[in-house]
Amino acid sequence: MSQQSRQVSDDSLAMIAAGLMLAVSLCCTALGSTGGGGAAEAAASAWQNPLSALLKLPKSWESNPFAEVSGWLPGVVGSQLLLGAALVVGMLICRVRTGEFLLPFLKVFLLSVLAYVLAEQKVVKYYGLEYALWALLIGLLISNTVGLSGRLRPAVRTELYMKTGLVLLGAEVLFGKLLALGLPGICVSWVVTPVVLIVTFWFGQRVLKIESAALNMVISADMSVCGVSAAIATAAACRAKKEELTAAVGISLAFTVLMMVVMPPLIQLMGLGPVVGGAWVGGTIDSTGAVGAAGAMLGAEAEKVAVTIKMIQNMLIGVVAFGVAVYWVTYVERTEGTRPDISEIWRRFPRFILGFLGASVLISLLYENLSDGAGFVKAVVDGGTKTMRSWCFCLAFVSIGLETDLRTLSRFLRGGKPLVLYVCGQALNLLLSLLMSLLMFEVVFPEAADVLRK
Amino acid sequence: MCCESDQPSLTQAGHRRGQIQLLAALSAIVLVWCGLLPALGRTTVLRQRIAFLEARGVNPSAKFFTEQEAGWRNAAEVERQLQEHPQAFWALPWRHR
Repeated sequence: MSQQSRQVSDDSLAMIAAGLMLAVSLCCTALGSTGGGGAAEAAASAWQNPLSALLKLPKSWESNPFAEVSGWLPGVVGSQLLLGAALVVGMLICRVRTGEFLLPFLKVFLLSVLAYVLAEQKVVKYYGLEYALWALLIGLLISNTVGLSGRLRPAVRTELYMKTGLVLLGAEVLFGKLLALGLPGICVSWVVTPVVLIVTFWFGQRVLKIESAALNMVISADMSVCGVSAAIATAAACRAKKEELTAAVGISLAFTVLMMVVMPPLIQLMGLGPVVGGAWVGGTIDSTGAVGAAGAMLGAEAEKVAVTIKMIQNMLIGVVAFGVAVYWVTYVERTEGTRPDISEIWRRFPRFILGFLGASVLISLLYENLSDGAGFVKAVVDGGTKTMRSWCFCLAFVSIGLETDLRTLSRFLRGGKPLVLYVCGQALNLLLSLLMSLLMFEVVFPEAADVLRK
Repeated sequence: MCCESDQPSLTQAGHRRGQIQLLAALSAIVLVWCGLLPALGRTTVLRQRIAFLEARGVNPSAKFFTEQEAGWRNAAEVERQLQEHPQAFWALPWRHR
């Protein structure tokens, strides 16, 4: 299969599989609930998703990973069955052979379960060392010791899992949340984040002269937007190599742990208030979870502001992925001296981005227009799509590890340029985010800071 | 992700070495995850911090705001404050001076 047709096939497959899972979650929530509004209004939310009992991730554990295994194992099997079924249906629709896929898929899924169990150990979880890291390491461990077995290869489908996960992630991107913190939120997230992303990318291309524009873009996006999830989205949008995504994720996770530990005491030392401190944390620490942890260390108000700023940045993933995809097919991949026409741009455009945006628009409309839309969307996401998206990303990172040679990986980090790019970009991010947070919450909107402190 | 990676080519002799390396790595994982990390987690400081974050619904390894209860809770709280005080978040101060 040619690369172009394989890509179209993966995009179509991902959209069909994710669309099916989203439809199942929407239908189960709509049919399995008593409905929003009416007498049920007294309850926190009347919307329930029956799938939540059938689809699960491993639970966090302290010293014995098997202590509560009976609580989550059936849900893990349920997730595997639903994901396997959705992918097989997609393959049948796309007329792709399924016979060689199923058994290896079960084995790769088992590796993902192991990665998730490692990530759920409470100390590991506390330091924000998420499953992506362990999934990568398990894959790398196997491929660089006993090697990737040929029998496993049909289920090592990085792009398919990643794109399916990204379309499902679209169902968690609520456009209305972009305005969640009014003008101060827009300025801290919408202004600083794209400026840092563009300047860092420019710095990497023009000053550091990083050979791979894709590596430069993935590092710039994961540092400025929201860590691993942004790295996955931009890597898929600009067709970065697996090793490039691995390098970007590794650097981002290392700095996330460092910043999560260092920033709260630094903010207290600098005497910044909880609102400015929270906004600074939310705007700079890559990972969403680490932002919550660092914010909580500074108090409830700081946590609220930090998590909200990061949530707005989360929402930028769709815009960034779309922008990067358009920029890539229009400028980076063009033939020297020519400007591609619309049909050429459309031919090269990664179609799964449309699935991602479609899911996002659909869920945003339901969130805004349904009675208790927030409760409905939370049930759809928490009960079904979030779990399936997590499994897709975990499978993608296991697949990356299984396909990666450590010697090749070291080539991408040679010379330390990616590290320098990250450090310089993060320094700019820290400076601009602090200035904008001070300007917004101390100078222009002090009343907003007063409200948030209540 | 357009390019395939080069796979490590393992000879028959190297395969046995690989199996031993894999076994050693897996043993190390079991030792660290079931011995060292639980012991670290039992220290007073870490135990208190982990309990504090769990009580607040914060998941430090979350990738997206939907992965932690604190994400939904804080979003709802800020949304309520924004609705109650829209002027504070939207009106530029020099506009109503």
